[in-house]
Amino acid sequence: MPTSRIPYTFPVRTVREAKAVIEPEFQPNLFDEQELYVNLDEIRDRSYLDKLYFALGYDRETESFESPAGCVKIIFSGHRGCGKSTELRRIYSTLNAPGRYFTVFIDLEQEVEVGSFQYADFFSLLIHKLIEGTARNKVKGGAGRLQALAEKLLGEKTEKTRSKKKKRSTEVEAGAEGGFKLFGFGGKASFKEVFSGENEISTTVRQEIKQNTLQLINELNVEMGDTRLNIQESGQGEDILFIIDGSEKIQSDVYEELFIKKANILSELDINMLMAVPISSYYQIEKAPNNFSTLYTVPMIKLEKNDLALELMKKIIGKRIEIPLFIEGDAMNTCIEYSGGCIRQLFQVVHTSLISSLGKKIEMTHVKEAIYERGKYLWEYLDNEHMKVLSEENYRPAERKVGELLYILILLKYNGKIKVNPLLASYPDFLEWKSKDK
Amino acid sequence: MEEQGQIGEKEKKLRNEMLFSLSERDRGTLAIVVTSNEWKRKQLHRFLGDHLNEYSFFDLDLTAHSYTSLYRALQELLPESIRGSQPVQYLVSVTGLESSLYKTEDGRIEFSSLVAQLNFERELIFNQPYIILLWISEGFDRELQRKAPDLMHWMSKRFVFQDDNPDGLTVAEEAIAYGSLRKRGKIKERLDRIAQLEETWERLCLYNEDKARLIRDKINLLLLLGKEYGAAFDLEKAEEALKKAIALDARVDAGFGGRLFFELGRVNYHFARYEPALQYFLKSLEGYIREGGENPGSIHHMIGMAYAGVQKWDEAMKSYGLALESKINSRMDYELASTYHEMGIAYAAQQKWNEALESYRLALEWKKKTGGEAGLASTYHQIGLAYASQMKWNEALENYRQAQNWKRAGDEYDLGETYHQVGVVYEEQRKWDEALENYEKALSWHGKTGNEYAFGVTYHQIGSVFEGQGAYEKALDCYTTAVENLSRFNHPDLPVAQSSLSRIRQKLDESRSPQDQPTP
Repeated sequence: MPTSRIPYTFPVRTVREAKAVIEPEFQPNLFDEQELYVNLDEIRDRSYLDKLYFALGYDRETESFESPAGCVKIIFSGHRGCGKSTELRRIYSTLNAPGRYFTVFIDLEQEVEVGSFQYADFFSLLIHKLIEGTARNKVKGGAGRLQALAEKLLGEKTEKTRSKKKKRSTEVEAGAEGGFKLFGFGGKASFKEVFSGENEISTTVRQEIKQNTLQLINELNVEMGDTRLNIQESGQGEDILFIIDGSEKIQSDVYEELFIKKANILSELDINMLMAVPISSYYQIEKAPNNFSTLYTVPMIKLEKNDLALELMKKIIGKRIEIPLFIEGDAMNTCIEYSGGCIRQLFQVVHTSLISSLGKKIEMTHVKEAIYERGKYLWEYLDNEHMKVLSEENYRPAERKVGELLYILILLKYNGKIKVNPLLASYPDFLEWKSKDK
Repeated sequence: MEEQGQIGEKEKKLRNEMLFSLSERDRGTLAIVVTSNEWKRKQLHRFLGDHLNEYSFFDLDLTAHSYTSLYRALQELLPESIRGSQPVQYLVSVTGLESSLYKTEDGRIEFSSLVAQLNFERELIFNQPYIILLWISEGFDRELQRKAPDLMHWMSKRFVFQDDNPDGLTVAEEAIAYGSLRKRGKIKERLDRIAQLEETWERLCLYNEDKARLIRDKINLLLLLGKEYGAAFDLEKAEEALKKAIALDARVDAGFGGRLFFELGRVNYHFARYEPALQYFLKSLEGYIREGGENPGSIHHMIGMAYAGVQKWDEAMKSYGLALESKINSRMDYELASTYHEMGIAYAAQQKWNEALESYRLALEWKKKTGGEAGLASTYHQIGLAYASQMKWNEALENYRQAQNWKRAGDEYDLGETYHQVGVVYEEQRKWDEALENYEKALSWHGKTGNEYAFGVTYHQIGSVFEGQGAYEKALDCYTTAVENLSRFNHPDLPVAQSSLSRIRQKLDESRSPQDQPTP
């Protein structure tokens, strides 16, 4: 697929470019030489991050690392668009170092076809990505051991698959030809291709994992120990950490199986894991019997009476576009105010305002139109049960409808407090309903 | 452009915002446009086409397809030149995804998994090198809001064009109630009716709470359009409409399957595409029985005709037998005649003249018994043909005359063909003037009745008369016109006309004296 794009020089100064770089869908590399990343540590409540690093054996102040005694499984959550992925990327950059972790970052959206992703595929993906990572980083013996594990665990079925392949030539060519090379770097088929639907390989592997999960876990743990040693000997890390992002879109039955119903299986794995989950499932996981010991949410940025927050949010936009050319000062402040502390919502409000101004300098009137439009969209989502929740103002996150409202960003969670999205809170019909409701 | 003066300020603003956000892009994207009907969509499409000159537009109508993944539809249906293009050269306008939105669950119409899948595909869709302009209804938009929150959270180009006009269902009801035109041919009434149906289709709301009714109305409108286009000799448009209706019916199991395949078969049969016609009739029979139909006589009748078209006489006769049996059992005596008539044709084609004449006799008898005198003309015409094939010219002419006498005012569609056959009788007897006179009358009636399909064959025969008279230049003109006309319909007689044209050219070349030849 052609992806060639004209590179932008930030902050951009033309309307055409401004329109492009503030679109919510625009996802530049925040950490490249143009440094679009804005450190929000000062305005976010970072205590959660300190605790998270502590659980992973890392001291941010002294930059020292000591591998945790047991393997930790951390659930990481936050509103859509609050900067969760960015935070995970930062954690990855901090911890992926020779004296710390050999870290494998998995972006599910990139690695799998989320729609056909199944519970069992999670384990295949872990093996696949670790083989790929160790091979790429030339960890001596690393890839070989894991490749052997893959073949040992699934070899019998491979033979069956291969013999069936002789009779039927119409099966997925790449998967069948690749055999278990799919578990290794250099296999002919990508993980995504093989596991994007039902074919001989994916069906066989899934069945095998489902039928012999515990045996697989035990053997994986043994091999993982050896792999860890190999990594240590090659000086590429003291331990192994998986960071898994992009689970927002996985079908609810899959993450329920993975993180709730069969969470005990996950906890049996001798691997450190940091897993992002949608905010609505976070509370289900929290109250599930096999809960994870450590769960963190990325809080929304509190904007009230916080000049520094306003400044840094402005900086996020200012890194991309030359603000004085495109937005009036008070209009910019209003955009930030109505972002509710959600970065993607900030982009949405600024972008909608720019569209409303048709490329002219954004004034307050354009921002108001944008706020109205976005508020209307949220208002139209609400059903009677939602209205009941909003009327009672008793936002218990574990309640299904509250979870839904958090997921859709009608409710926003700040540290210790849940509030109505300011876009909705200012929408005239909502205000009218609210006054009648009272 | 022409609409700019008539639209309100709010819509003007929205149009400009849409233009601004889609113009001068260097990355592909997905934009959603919500409209209440096709008419508004077409209006907006024209507006964008007029202004976004930097892109090539590609229209992708998914109405006749069933997809639960937009990404897959794009991968499978877009040409490689678009899929592999550099960003951004193309704007792909996607319509009709609406028809994949529903499915039937326990007899109820439910939403399919399409919307949930769109949520999963967000990144794939946004990362294409072209702009995807997805036209949807209010209902589809609402489903996206509820079931594709991730997609919608990234979405920055959603344009909602609200319409305060009536929902279009009432208009559709009236148009459907009017039914099909009885008269055949490409006549003015038919062209007006097609225009009216097209407009009703465009005005029909894309979403209504009463999903079942809306889908039924859509299918009915498409069915009527299919019939009318078929009768106006536009096979392509007829097939397009009927296939869209079939796709809709398949998604929601609305119970139209048998009828729709029947119409598709009929349209193909009338264009002498017997093999596909046969397949459609067989599917129609399958659907009809599945839907609980008990009188499949008409379908067996058409299956017989399609078998006859491919000269599988035994199968044809077997089907006609089944048709008669079904019609007798269901006491549909008034339909027996048409099957006897077709049996006569099948026997005649096998030169079984006695059996043919006996079948025609039964056809005439049943037509008279059941008040079907209007149909006597076609059977007399066929009897005339049978005699003509045996070179019994007087008997042939007598029956053709009977056929002409039985034509009723307003039902002269076949009259041209009878004059044509009279012309053939005279031509066979080398009575050139009488032949030409009747062929001319045939042409005149073809024109009056809008029977475009028949022109080519008559022109060919006029050419044949001129050739017989040695008037090669005139013959050349007529054969050329015949080939042109027959090519339009890929008519089964086209090879004959092409051969005649080639022969007359050769004769003309040979008839030129050496001094007429250009010097090298």
